[in-house]
Amino acid sequence: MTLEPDHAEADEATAPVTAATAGQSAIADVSYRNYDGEMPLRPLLARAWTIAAATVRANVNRRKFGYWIPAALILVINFFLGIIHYVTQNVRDQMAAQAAMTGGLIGGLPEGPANPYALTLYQGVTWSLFLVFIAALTVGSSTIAADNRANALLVYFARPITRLDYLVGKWVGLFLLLAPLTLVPSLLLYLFFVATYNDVGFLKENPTLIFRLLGATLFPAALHASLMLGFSAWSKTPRMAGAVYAGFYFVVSVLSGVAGNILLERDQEQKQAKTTAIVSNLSVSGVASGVAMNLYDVTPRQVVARFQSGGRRRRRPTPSPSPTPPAVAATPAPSGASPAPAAGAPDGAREPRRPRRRGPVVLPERPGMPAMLFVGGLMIVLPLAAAHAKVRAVEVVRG
Amino acid sequence: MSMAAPPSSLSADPPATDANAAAFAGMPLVASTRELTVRYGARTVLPSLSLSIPEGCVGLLGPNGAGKTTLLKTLMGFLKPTAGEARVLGLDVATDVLRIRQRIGLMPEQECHIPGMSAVQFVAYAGELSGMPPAQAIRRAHEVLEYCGLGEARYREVETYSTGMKQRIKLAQALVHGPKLLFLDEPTNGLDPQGRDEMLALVRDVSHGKGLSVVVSSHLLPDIERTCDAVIVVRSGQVVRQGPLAELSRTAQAEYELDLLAYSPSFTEAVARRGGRLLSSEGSRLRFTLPPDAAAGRLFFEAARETGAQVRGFRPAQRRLEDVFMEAIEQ
Repeated sequence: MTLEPDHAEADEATAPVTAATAGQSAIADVSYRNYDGEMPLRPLLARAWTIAAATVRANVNRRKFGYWIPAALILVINFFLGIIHYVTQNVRDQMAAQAAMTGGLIGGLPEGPANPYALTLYQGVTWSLFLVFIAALTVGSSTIAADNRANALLVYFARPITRLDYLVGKWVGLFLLLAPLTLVPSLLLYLFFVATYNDVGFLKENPTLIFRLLGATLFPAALHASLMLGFSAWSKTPRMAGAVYAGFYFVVSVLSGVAGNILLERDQEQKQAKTTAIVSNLSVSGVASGVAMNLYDVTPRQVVARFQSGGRRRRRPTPSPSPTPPAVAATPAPSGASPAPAAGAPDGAREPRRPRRRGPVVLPERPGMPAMLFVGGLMIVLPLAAAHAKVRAVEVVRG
Repeated sequence: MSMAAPPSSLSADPPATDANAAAFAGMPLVASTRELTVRYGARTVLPSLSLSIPEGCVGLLGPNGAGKTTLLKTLMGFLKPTAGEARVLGLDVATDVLRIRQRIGLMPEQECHIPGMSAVQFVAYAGELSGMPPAQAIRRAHEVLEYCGLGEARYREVETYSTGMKQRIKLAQALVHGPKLLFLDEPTNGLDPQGRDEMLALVRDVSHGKGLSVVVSSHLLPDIERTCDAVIVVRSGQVVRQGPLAELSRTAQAEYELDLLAYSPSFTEAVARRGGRLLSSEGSRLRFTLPPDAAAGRLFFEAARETGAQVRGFRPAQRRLEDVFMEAIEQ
């Protein structure tokens, strides 16, 4: 009998108890075995795709209502837009046909916008933007913040994963979750247009519409994915990331809206219409809307003309033909007293309500595409750069 | 396509310049540093550190702030050294960090997991991140979870795990891709005695005869003593002692441990008369140092015959790791 090395006894004593060590016949070998299988060092895109796929799976499996309800609502909105479009187009076509047949005895509807299909698609995107924001908050706030909280970055970066792989993977995952929210309804609308077109030449007449549709529907997803990623990277908890992004979204929207309105009021002659248009769209949804407006080649005036909504309207004060009558009461009336009758009004009778003047509607111009792309590009690149600066395996406190 | 096998050791590399490197002379190395300097801002944590880590299970010991974790982070490529060179599995940390990470497993000190995943999803995902095909990763995840004792709980979300289970899953995710080198940073942190025993048994098992080298960073000397074959003691970013545990625990003088049936003061006096000196006594276990030329067996049995004490056993004394550590730290 040979003496075993010292450790052999210890090994036996400390080895995990398996069926074999318990003196029974083993039905499974649960001892550690080395992995000698295939494991190549993959390129960046493959590494990022692993992370992107996991991000999508995690969010889809969790059945988040904050994602699925906006998705359903966007579908509903686009469904009704499709119906409205169908009805108005049919009525317009029929009335035009009647006008032609009756030699103008029965008039047609006034001319519609240049491209009603693009306009409907544009409306579909812009009306969905807030819901996309809600969905982005739901699925995006935890993207990196949850990893920060669970120290998951140590798991990622202890493997052949770079910061760029990680960020690209997370961004693509988030983008893949958000893009279908606007893309799928718009594609369905597009198919509906193709199917219900009263001629065979839809694609010939709108050859670039599908590409413009892709750009307009994917841009908001890219925008939200980048911004959400940036805020999430700098937060320790998903709740904090969501709150900060929501604050940013609303504050920037309010500020750009107020600034745009002030410029619009001051610039009655519309000498600085382009600047005003850009300032009015300097928000997350504003940029997305501005890009879509350019891609679909629609103007705020067309939107208002068709739907009587959707644009900011300011009434230009028109000079009154006669000077406004001076205020009747030079001194304030005692409290509780009824206002004095206006000059010229019959005794005891109130001054009739003056009809409101309806001046021409002042709408902001369409913001220029280069400006929108520049602002949108900044909104996409800067958060990613900020996230890249923050995401690390270990926090280095420099003493 | 199979991966080109990396050099499994650094034997071909020039040895680290530290004088202590002689402690591992002839042993194949898995990692080494040469004049490695790491700074956090103005504070130098590792000042020109040179060390060699041999194959097998190696304990990285040192007081808090000694630079153990910083060394592991640098070897993983998390921190960029200001100067010097570090090589892991024959690859340069500065240029081959992704290949190094593919062959290394890290069990960090702090709790870490991917949120929202079950154990099997988490471990399989960790394997995929390392480059394993998804089907292989899931199969391997089941294997390592069974091995780590989490087979029954593999479909539970990791967030619901107890501290002990979280420690085990950290080990599982570090093992899933079959690393050649495993870094364990305080593997028994927060475990109860039973959990600690089980974790040490796993570490001991995985580091012996499985073709896997393990570096255990810990300040718990009993953990190192139970699992490791060699130790490296670090203080203020410098190696103060390193070598195989068996060599370090060898005493410089002739020291012996005796087990008596019962403690006998007259036996102690009889040994003292023959030139021996009592170093310590715990119950009936006595520790003596003898003159260098003394024949230990004859001396003890003569003293026993003289006093009527019954000697149940005696052996050359070994220093405990704690003694080695304290000596190295207080140098």
